[in-house]
Formats: sequence, C-alpha cells, structure tokens
Amino acid sequence: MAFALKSRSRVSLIIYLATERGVRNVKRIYESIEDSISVVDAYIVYYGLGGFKQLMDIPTFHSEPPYCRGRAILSGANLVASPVIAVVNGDTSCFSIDSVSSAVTKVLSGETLLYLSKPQTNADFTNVYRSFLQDILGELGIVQNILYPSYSIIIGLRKFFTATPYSMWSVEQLAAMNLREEALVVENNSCMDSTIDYVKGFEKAFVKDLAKKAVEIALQRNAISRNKAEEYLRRIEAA
Amino acid sequence: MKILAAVSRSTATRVLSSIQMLTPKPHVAVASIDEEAALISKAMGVEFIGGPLPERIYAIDEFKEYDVGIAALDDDSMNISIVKALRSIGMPLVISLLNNSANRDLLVKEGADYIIDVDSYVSQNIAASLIVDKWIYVRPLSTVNLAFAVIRLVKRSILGVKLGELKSALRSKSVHLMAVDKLGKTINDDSAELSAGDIMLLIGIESEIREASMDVEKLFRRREEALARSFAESLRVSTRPYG
Repeated sequence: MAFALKSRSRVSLIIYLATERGVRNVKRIYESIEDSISVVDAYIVYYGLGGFKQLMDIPTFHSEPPYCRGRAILSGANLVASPVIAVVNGDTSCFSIDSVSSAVTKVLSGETLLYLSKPQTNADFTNVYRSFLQDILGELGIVQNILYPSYSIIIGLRKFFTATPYSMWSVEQLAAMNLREEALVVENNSCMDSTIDYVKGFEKAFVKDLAKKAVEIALQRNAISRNKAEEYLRRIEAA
Repeated sequence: MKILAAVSRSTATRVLSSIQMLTPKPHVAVASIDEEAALISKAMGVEFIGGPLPERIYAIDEFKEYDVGIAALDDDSMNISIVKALRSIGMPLVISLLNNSANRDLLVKEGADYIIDVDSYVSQNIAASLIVDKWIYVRPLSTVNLAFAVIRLVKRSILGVKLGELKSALRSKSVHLMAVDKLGKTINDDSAELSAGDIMLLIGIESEIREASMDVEKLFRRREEALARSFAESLRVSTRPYG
C-alpha cells in the first residue's frame, strides 16, 4: 500500500523551523515523510535568528526577516519545483505521517485544494486571533474552518501560496480565504503545540498584520463593501 | 551583448545604471513585478517585460539568445529560483545578489557565476565604522578573489609598533600591507610608530589575509605581554615594603 501511494504522489517538501528543538526534529521528520511519499525536492527553511547547524544533506534556506513565519512559508514555495507542496512545521511533533500521506493523495486527486492540520495553540494567541479575525472570517463564510492561528501541516497547490499576500504570522489562512469552503479541508490533530515562544508578547502585532491582509482579501472577493473594509481597518488600528 | 535583469523596485536604478556604463550599449530586458521598475526602465530607455518571475523567463524563447542574466531581487528565495531558471535556459553568465550571507551555498549550487553579497558588505561596513582594535574582513568585488582586512588602532597605539616591524613579520606572506593615518594620508615611513586613529589594511587572497592578520595579532600580543611584564616589574619595585 505504502509503495503504491509513494509511486503516485510527487510533491515538494518544505520543513520550516525557528528553534533548536526544530533542528533536532528535522532529520526524523524528513526521513519518515520521504518513506511514505515521493518527494521531488525538499528544502529546510530556517527563520530563526542567527546560525543554523545543518545536520543533513537537505538544502537549507535562511529566510529574512527572522521570525516572520509567513515569509518563511512563501520563500519555501518560491524555491520548490512541484505544483503541489507539503509544508511541515519542524518545531512541533504535532502531526502524523499517515495524515501527511492521505492529505497528499487528496490534493493530488483534486478532492481538495488545500489541507490544513490544526494543533491546539496557546490560549492567549488563539483568543487574540479570534477577537480580530472571527468577524472577517464570518463575512467570507469560512469561519468554522480556520478559527485556529497555527497549522502544523499545510498541503496544497503551490500557486495558492505564491499568489497570495503573506502576513508576518502566516500565509495559509490568507490562501484559504481565496478558496471556496468545499475546497478546504481542516483536520484537528488533537495535539498541544507549545513551540511558538517567539510570539509571546507580540500576539497582537502578529494578528493585527494578518487581520489587515484578511480585510484586503475580503474586499477583493467582494465579500465586504469598501465602507465596511474601512470600518474593519479602523477597528484593527484602534485595538 | 544582451542582458536580462530581474529587478525589484529598490534595486532597479542601481542595476540599470551599472549596465548603462557598458560600451557599446547592450540590449537590456527588465523583468519585474513592480510598477516602479517599469517606470525606471522606461525612463532609462530599456525594454520592460514585466512578470511574474521566474515564469516569464521560461515563457520567452528569445532569452535563450541572451548573454548575461542578473537576479537582483530583495528576496533570496526569488533570486535562487531566477538563477535556476536562467541556468535551465542555458544563460552563459549568471550574476546574483545575495541578501543573506547564509544562503550563499544555495546560490553556488544553483549555478550563479558571480554572487554580490550585499549582506556582508553592509554589515562589515557598519562594523568597520564602529569597531576598533579588531580585524574586519571585507571582500569588495565578487569577480576577483581579493579581499582586505582592516583594523583601526586605538588602545593598541600605546604599544609603539612600527610599520617596518609589521612589514618584516609579513615578509613571507603574499599580502600587501599599508597604513593610513587619521587624516587619510598614506604612511610611507617604515620607522613611524602607529598612533591612535591610524588604520592598517591588508590586501590579498582571502585565505592569505586571514593568516597574515593572525601573524600581526601575534606580534601585537607579544608586545602587549612585554608591556604588561615591564609594568608589573615597575609595580614590584614601587610597592616593596619599607624596613
């Protein structure tokens, strides 16, 4: 079964990480994913500050500016060749190889265009995220799907990432906002992800930037009027 | 000569004005997703082909006849993907900007012939303006494997090291040593002691100037130890207990 799946699936793999813990995880993540799906090319994208000790022979890209997760994912999407990409958070253990394989199959077969796997993130960040984004997501009609700020596995068509504006925190929510609800699959992996220390104290800054981009997308999609967009932007600035 | 330049709004003017220094004037095509780059291209009288990048490079067959490709964007991931595209269409010479020195290996691997390291140029210049008594290494041109090491003497000027002593310490090395005083004039007198604010420069192949700067460091350390010893001896004499 594993062989049959591997022979059909051809994706580019991006493992992004910002911490020392991620550096130790990368080898294990890469080898287990490479066993189950056929990886066309793979990059590690490091978006932490300072050096990165390379542990294996996967090309490593250093993303600028540091701690800009959205830019790191976009850089990975720019580097790879395959039209389908699997983006995995190297700083967390919150994913299963089976879910990566099945999601790749779903995207390659056209069953879904974007797959996100959500871990539980720290409560402060989730609350700030929801307070800023819930209304806008409601306007777009995808409120239930992307109510969490962080996703440990992202699999989708590369063009969704390269053609979408990125925010300091993410690109996956913004890519999802450009899709119809049925083209998006979000799975709860019931795992507690606590490895986003660099966000602490900056939750509002990360989410405000994301919310502004979300308003732009909602306006482009005619989900909200210009007046409503201006009202949202005023509210975000004032918060 | 035909040149294809992929630029961003912030690099367009610099790249295009450098290209315009060439004689005879080359044919230039500018690829960019920025409207500002389109405006600059028009003002400078060069062809603008737009974006997206790198797809536009693959799409136009005519680029296979071009001689030089330049990837000069602010984002290294884009520069790497453009270098990859330029190489795949058989561009004979590929030049790329490098915004983060840590990505140099990736650009080399993708086949860039010349890499212009903006990151280390800026950071080394800032360091050279602020840091004293410590060697700063700068590689000014990517086309030549020459670099220079520079040190501005402040505390070490009290050691009374003469320029001639340094030159003899480096006699076996194929590096060139020169010193400039704080007024910006070259010091030619080998018997002159280096004073506060003087700048020493080592020019040569990068690996050799690193070795040579270590030799100069050893000489400085020997003098520091000698100074410390003589100071300690003078203290022993003056603190001898009475009676």
